[in-house]
Amino acid sequence: MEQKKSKKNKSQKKQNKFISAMSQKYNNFLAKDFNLVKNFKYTILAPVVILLVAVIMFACLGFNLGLDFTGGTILKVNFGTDISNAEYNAYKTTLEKVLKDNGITKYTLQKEGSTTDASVSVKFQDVSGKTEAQMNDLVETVKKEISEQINPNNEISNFSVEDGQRIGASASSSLLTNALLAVSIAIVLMLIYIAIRFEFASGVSAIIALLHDVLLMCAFVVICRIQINSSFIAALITIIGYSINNTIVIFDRVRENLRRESYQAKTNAEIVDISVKDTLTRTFYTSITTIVSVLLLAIIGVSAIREFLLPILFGLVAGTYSSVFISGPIWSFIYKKDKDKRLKKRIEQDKKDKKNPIPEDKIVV
Amino acid sequence: MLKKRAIRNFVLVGIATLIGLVLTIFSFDIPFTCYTFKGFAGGIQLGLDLKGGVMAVYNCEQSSESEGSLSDQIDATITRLSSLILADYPEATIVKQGDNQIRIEVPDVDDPDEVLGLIGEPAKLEFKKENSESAEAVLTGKDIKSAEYQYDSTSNQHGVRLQFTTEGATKFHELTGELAPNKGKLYIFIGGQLFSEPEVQSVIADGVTFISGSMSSQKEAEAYATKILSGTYSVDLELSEKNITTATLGENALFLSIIAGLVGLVLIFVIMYVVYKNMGLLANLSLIIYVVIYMFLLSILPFVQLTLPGIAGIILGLGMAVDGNIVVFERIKDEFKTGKKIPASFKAGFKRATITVLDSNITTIIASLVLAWLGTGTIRSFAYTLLISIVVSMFTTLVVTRGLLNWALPFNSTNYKKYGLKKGEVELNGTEEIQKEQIAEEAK
Repeated sequence: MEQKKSKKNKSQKKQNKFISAMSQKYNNFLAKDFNLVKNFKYTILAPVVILLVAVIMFACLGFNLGLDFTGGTILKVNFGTDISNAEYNAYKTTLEKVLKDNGITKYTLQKEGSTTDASVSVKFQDVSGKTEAQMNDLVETVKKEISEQINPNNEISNFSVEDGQRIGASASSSLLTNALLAVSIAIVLMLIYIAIRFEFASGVSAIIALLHDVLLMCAFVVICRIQINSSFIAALITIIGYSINNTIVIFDRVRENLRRESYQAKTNAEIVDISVKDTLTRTFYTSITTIVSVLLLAIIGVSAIREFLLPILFGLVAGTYSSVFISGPIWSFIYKKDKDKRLKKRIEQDKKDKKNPIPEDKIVV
Repeated sequence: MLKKRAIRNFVLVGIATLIGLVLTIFSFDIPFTCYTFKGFAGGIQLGLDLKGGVMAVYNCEQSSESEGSLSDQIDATITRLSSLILADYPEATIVKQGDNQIRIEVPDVDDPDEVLGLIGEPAKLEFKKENSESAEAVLTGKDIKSAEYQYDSTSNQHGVRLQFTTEGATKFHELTGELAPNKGKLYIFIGGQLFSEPEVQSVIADGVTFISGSMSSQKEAEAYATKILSGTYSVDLELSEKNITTATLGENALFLSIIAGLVGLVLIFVIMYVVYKNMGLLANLSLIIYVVIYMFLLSILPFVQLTLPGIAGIILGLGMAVDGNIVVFERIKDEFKTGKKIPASFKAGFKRATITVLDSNITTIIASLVLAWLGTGTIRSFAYTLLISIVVSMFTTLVVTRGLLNWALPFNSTNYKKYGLKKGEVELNGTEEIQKEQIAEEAK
């Protein structure tokens, strides 16, 4: 009993030692000069490089558009009877094999119909480089092969493959323009709110950080060749909501520090450094908890959900990066003019009060 | 005394939370009644991608009668169809697909004909003075605002209440003025076929009329109304695809998402406890309360329909709810480092963090309001879930967490380690400043 207790104490002590060592390290890290503004030319490098790579890849390959945007052909495989999940999975493997053998890489399979009359709808995109006539031939071949491979001996009595039907893009241009309009209006209104509650410079830098995240997400799907369906629009909007929230917390600190008496002589760069440091622990834990929840869903969830969450995951990382490394420095560049005014006003005030004026050389921002 | 009250409060909140959790998770029969209570979480309406249902696609063709661009006409038709279908299936979505199609999705229904019967077989609707196919149409479908079943209790008759548009009302006024003196007949043609020939009894000026006589039952009258309405679409509709689908994301999508959500929640609880000790524990209780209120609202608000982007909204909302607590706790830590006592740190921490939480959340609220207003389909679903989540999480962070922390003070207001707080080991930037401010504040 006694031994156990002392053992427990020992392990606890060890643990405490580890924690205090870690927190010491963290404090040392915070005590360092971040020089975020000075290092901006380096920190902006990573996003710029990613964007450049994406632009080049986009010029060569374009977006990897999914069925929602391109439309394609729909084939209906009727079974005329119920199929169990195990059977469906077996048929699915066969169907996928037939499609792949015919060079069709973009497709979706969907179980449909009732319990007495099940069917599988096979949707696939045109194979690039094929003419319409060639595509029609291909559809015929696929139909024949599906019948041959799934029902070679006519064991399924009511089995049939319906004729291929062309389907249009379900995501129309109006859907895109509508989403774009909504987002633009949202951005303008947010800018107004931030300009009122903070100042214009914060608003502009927050929006730039937002655009950074959105562009990086687009770059990510271009580089990783992730299929874009209408859910990607929702993913972009999710990140807009997250990123703005993250950035505002930092600007809230900037606003508070700007008002602080003893910080009046500090440069914008110093204010940014201090504010980012003040909020770094919060940024870290918030990002960790959100990323963990999304990551879990991406790992456990089905593939369609993964296609949706992978861009979000990348957007979360980009959003954290931009709120720490991008938004603050950009604010410091834009806010310059106001800062000079503020100092001049203070000096005049101080002269009036016959206090020690702030040294003139500090005015140079 | 304070301790007693705090214990009572904790017990009450604990019991309320527990009841809330049970009501969220479980469904059961209500004793002595024939009603079944559906757990909040189970009562949330699910979209086609998570639950499956009926899906139909109509091709639209420009009708010879109506004016304006095809796109405008499709929009007008969607409005018509929406009012028709949403009355019976509030969870249906009717959207434009591609450039000339209308897509109708009704989750959680397995008979397509039941739904599509409502739409009827769209055909041209004409009101004429003569019983002849070639006669000039006085009124057409676009003059009709609504047609619905009505029971006339004075004459004990089933009938259809027709309401005309302003323009239609003027035309109908003229028409009835011409026909009423001789009790003339009005000929209603649908798709070029004579459908009905009611007798005009009186001059009608207000654009509302009641057709009755030939209908012997409510069902017949309803069919009559549908038939009239189906002639009012601005475009010709042709059914191109109708399907019963299982969940388009796969049958397991919802189940797996719930599992992932629960595991994520537990992980968040662990992180919060490890980092913030007892403060984290109370934040976890506050988060559970958040989940209960959130699930309750999602299940009772009629415009919420959960789809894949909606799940993203929930996750983002949860992240922001946790963030609110973290912002507050970090602030409390800062305040404590400056040398304040624990109760003063709590108070000052909440006071300062409230502004942060409000500003960051209101910005997001603005964005989600715009999306809910202008967005379509699934984007709207995302906006709603996010919006509700932010409002609830602001409440749980700024009111619930705050209350819980204050109640914890009578038990422990000195042992800072139990709250995950640290004394100021390093000099915090602007420490003196904060102390000065604190003194000034206290002086006030």
